Amino acid sequence: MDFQLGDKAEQVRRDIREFLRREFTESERQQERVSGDGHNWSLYKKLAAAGWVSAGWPKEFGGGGRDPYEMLALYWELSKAGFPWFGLLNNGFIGHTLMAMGSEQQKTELVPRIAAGDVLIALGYTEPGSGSDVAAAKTVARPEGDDWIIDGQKMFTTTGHLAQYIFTLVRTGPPEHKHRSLTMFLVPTDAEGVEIHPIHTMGGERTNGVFFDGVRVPDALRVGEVDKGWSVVRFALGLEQAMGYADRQELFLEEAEAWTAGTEQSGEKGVLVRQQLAQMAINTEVSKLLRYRSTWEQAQGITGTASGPMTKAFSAVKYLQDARAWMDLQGPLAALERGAQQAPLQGAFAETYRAAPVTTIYGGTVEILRSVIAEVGLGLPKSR
Amino acid sequence: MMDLALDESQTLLVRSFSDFFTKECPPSLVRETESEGFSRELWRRFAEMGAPGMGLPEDMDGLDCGLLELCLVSAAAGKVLAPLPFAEVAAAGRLLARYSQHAQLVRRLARGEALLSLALPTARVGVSQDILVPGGGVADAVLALEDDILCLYGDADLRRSPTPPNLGSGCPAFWRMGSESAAEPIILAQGVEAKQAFATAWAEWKLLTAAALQGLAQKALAIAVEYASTREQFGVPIGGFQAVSHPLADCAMAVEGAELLVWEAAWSADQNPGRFQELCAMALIFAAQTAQETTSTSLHTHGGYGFTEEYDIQLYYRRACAWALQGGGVSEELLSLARLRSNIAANFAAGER
Repeated sequence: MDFQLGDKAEQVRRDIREFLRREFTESERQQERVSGDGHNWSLYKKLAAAGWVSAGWPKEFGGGGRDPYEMLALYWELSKAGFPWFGLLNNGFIGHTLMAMGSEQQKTELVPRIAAGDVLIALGYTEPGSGSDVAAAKTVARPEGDDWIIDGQKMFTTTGHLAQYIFTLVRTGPPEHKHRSLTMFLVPTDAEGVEIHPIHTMGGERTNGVFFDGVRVPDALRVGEVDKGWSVVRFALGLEQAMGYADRQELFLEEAEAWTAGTEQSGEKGVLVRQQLAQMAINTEVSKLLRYRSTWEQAQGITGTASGPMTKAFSAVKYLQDARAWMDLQGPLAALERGAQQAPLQGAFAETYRAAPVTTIYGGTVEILRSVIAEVGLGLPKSR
Repeated sequence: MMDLALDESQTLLVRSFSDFFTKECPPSLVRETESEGFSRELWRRFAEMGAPGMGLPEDMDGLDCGLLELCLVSAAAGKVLAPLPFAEVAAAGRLLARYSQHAQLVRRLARGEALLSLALPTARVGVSQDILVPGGGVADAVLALEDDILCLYGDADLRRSPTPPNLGSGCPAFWRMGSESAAEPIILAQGVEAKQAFATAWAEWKLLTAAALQGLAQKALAIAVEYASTREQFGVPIGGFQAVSHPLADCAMAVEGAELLVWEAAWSADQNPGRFQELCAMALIFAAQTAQETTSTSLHTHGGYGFTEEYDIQLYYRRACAWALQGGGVSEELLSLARLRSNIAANFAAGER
């Protein structure tokens, strides 16, 4: 038994910390606070130049061949630093998916351009009428010559306004076939008929609503077979659900500890604060261990377990619980935000309170994950 | 490099103790021993497996196994609610084995001929000198830390109360310590060394108790899943209702998280000793919370039947609480964990970031 990520991963941690110290300056942070883009082209190009964008891809595709532990260390540090990393994350998932399920042309032409940091692809699964029931997508594609004509709407397409493509789930057959009439396309955002509208979130992110109105897409931009889009989505979602938020919980724990040490909590309040601090440390440790196990299973090639959904669900629920608990413990000052001189840690607690709820929603709601755990992990009957 | 699997011999160990307990400790035995909280016959057979001496040194008739192996046995015992004070004998025995002048008693422990426990300061009754000792009703001797003196109390002078009726049907008892004691204890060590040795033993007891609670929770969840898969209402198995299955899914995450935490704490004893006590405290708290939540949810899954004596789940529900309380309980343990971690916070504030 061994609970260490290993020397190579620790080296990645040092390297990426050094990169962040050098490149992720206060002005870049401020820019992200204002825009909420979740992606910064200038920083992203630097990451790509250093090989981090394709770090986890196999070497035969020009990737860095980094193992899952090295990738964990990379993602851990970027997330903890508050780096605008949605572009990197989505490109990582989509790159893996293209290499596993894409056409030869996509593998030889598109994958290297992603690795070089020239191409950004946003995720287009969710629609106004389908969130958890993602296979109920209504956006349609109908064939016309060698092209497809796409009509419909996608929601919460984060980084869509900066991306060249949207990895889009569309209906290519009768809706009643549900999972068996879905197909994946890479829809170019500069194609005629694509409209992108901003949606601003309580957590400070900018995401998008995307409209497709008779958008013509060549068949070469189809990913996977016609009507086999569901297996593509499941593959990509699986990569996303195995991560969780232990890195952000660790940062929040450090902030809470700093606040506690700096304010000398004593008496009855001090007892409550210390208990919450200890509980939060445990929540963070267990979230980390569940993520370690998901990563270890990935490295071992173990599949068919509920570890990924457990990782995400446990950590999201605890993160939100702790975010709420700290607001209550701190009292009125906790509600003060960045810019208020008396705000604890420059408004860090209110910021977390704003940011935490979405973790129980995006990339698979906690309810969907619980159902997967009940069915796959416990063998209970399917419940929906 | 990360490795979260049990190795071959550990897997074999789990299998042999799991077989042993399935055969030797059916629910009927747990029920028969509810008033004593201990089965001497089961302990004898457990000793034939070499279990009491597993963690003791080879030159004292032990098997010199690591803490992870002890945790695996403790979890297997927890799954069947074995009426055995394993965590107590194992942790106290390892503490006593530091003092070679008591090798004779350690050998008797290893052979299962004597039982030993720890007096946990957090289980003191008010301001009196009575401490409720886990397994104290059957222990032949108890180790206690008094100020900075590590003492060995024998039961020759009848300083032990009978086992009081208790929620978990265990075998705790009051031991009278300190100046009110009928006879002088044997002094094993004094000063910093005594304090550190006792703290290590206490942490090991927490870890082994956490493992038992984790095993208990895992089995309670399995019982509920089995029930929810077969019990039908409205014409379908109730496990198909999300109102039933989702709380069980939450328990499943916690049960698996608790197992990883117990394993990490056991691993840290040698590989990350700076965090050992902290991780043991974390493991006990989280396993206690998990066991209480899981047994409560699992009992509820049974509806009215879960409340009857006939169903096993009530045995788990009661012990989940009682075992967790032996060392003081979750609230108390959270404060102790916060104290352990306060140095880290101080360093952070001093500008590590």
